[in-house]
Amino acid sequence: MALVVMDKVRKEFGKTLALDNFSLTISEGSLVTLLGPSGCGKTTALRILAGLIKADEGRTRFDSVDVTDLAAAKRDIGMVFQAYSLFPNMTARQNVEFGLRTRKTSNKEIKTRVDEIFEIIGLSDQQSKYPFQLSGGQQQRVALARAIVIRPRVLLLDEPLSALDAQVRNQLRDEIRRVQIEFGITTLFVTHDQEEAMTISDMVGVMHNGKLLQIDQPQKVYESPANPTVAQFIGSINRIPSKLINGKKLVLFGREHVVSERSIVDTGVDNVYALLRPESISLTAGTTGDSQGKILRKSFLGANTIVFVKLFDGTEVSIHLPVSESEQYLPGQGVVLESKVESVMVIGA
Amino acid sequence: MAGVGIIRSFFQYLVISIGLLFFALPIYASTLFAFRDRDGNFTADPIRAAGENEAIMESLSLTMKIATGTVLLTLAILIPTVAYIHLVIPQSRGWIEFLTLTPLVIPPIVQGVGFLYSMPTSFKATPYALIFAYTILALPFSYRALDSAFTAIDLRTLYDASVSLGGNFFTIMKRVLIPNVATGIFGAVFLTIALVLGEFAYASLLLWDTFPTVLAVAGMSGATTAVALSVLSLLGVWLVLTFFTIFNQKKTSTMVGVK
Repeated sequence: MALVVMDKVRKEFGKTLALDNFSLTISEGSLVTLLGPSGCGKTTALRILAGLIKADEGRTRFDSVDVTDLAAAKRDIGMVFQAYSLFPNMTARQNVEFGLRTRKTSNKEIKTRVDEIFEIIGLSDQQSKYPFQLSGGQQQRVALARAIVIRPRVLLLDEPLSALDAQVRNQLRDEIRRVQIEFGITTLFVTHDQEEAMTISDMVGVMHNGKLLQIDQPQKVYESPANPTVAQFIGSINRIPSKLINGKKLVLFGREHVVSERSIVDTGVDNVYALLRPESISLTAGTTGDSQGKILRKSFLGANTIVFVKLFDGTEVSIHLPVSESEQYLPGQGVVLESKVESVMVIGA
Repeated sequence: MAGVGIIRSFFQYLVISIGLLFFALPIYASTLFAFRDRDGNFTADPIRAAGENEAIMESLSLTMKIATGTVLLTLAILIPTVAYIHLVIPQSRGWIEFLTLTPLVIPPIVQGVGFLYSMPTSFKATPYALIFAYTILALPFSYRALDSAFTAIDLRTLYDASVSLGGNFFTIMKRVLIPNVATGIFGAVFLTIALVLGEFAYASLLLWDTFPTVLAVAGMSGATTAVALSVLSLLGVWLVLTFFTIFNQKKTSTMVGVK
């Protein structure tokens, strides 16, 4: 395992700026996820770290060693790809052996290590099968085994779960985390799926337009997003038209709230949007006089229910309530809304 | 609707049948011409005569050597080149494909003279110089066969996976790329062999006695021998091509699950 540092990396493809002053540190043995929409530069960052493409500017270091100009084959990395990347002409076992053979490992050592890794991924009985004889999930597990068996300093995972169906995805996600912790490999995981990022990572970095907007523990990124872009990308969020008085008093659901300066982003105007998580809004039954909106519908999620409320100004708001609490509300019923303003973020309309 | 389907099937079979007749009739006529004696009985005399004709056997041996050299040179140049094009400059594939067609549209006399000018003198004095000329002539066919094979695999991912596992150029070529484009390699090999076995213009212009030029001369004195050898060489190439196509289909089905 290694401490990985990418320092002020810049990469352009023609006129497209893929990475802009991108810096990232992954501490030894931890799993960092780069999360962002398609085209945000997360895969470019991973491929630069792998040595598969060259940065225009900036340095990459593994521990104290500068690997910026080192070829990918010599970086001692393991990599799992989005597309099924097993070599079609080789069996699962031959695929896993490939990296060890290129390293001229002894046959005895290869046998021991390959047997062990197949045991760990639970595919000992599938070793002699060709990739086409394995399911998508099994193929990605073999790809993971192939990447780990060489005991790389850094493991790079480029959306390895995106081609799989939901159930297999969840299983393999947990398996990746288990194996990563077991081997203690420094890992960079790239995904556009926020649930994946939140559940698997020690740290989550949110990217947008080639920039790393925020990197922190998953819970902190969710609860204290650095800016509206992060807030809107992580989890679901309501965008509620509001008013800001004197730059610090927010009028929301008919009440005035003093909000901290930190919560107000990039606005010098009175008409604003309040960004609020569905769990940061509470409901009470309204009367004819004080109702602010009506229940539109409810969606049952298991432990929670999403209650959709249409405000009288036409805005639709979603609210997460415990199932037992949500049962008292029926479609068409008038309700009063209240927000926990400590988690609000205000942006210009 | 069923009526339309029947008419469509009828026309499909009609077109296929006309196509087959177009190819089969001349071969059938040539076979009858070459292997029938005056009484209308089958005879192997033309083959026997060819076996006794030293010039024909020598030219066949020379042509096979040239074919082998052409195949090796074609593969040595084209496999890494096509891989490079797909990996590094995929946006140029259209232009390169167009360029590979040029040997088809430049007259042999122009190519032959250009070839003579561009070759070192030491090469001009040997028939094996034809290897270079035939490599260029085979380009429209060999390039396409390999290009299709590389297009059919996810080359970028396979290459990146090999590199990330520490593979060097030769390891990647030998263990990953070549086995996965075997279909294209077989195609390129047999199209090249077929071209060398049938190429007349270059060898004739450059005054070398290859199998097709000797066959043309032999045809002037004993037509049946020349026609018999033409039919046999055609059938030989077809048989080998069919064998490798079936062999490769089985191999490919093992790899990708085609039943």
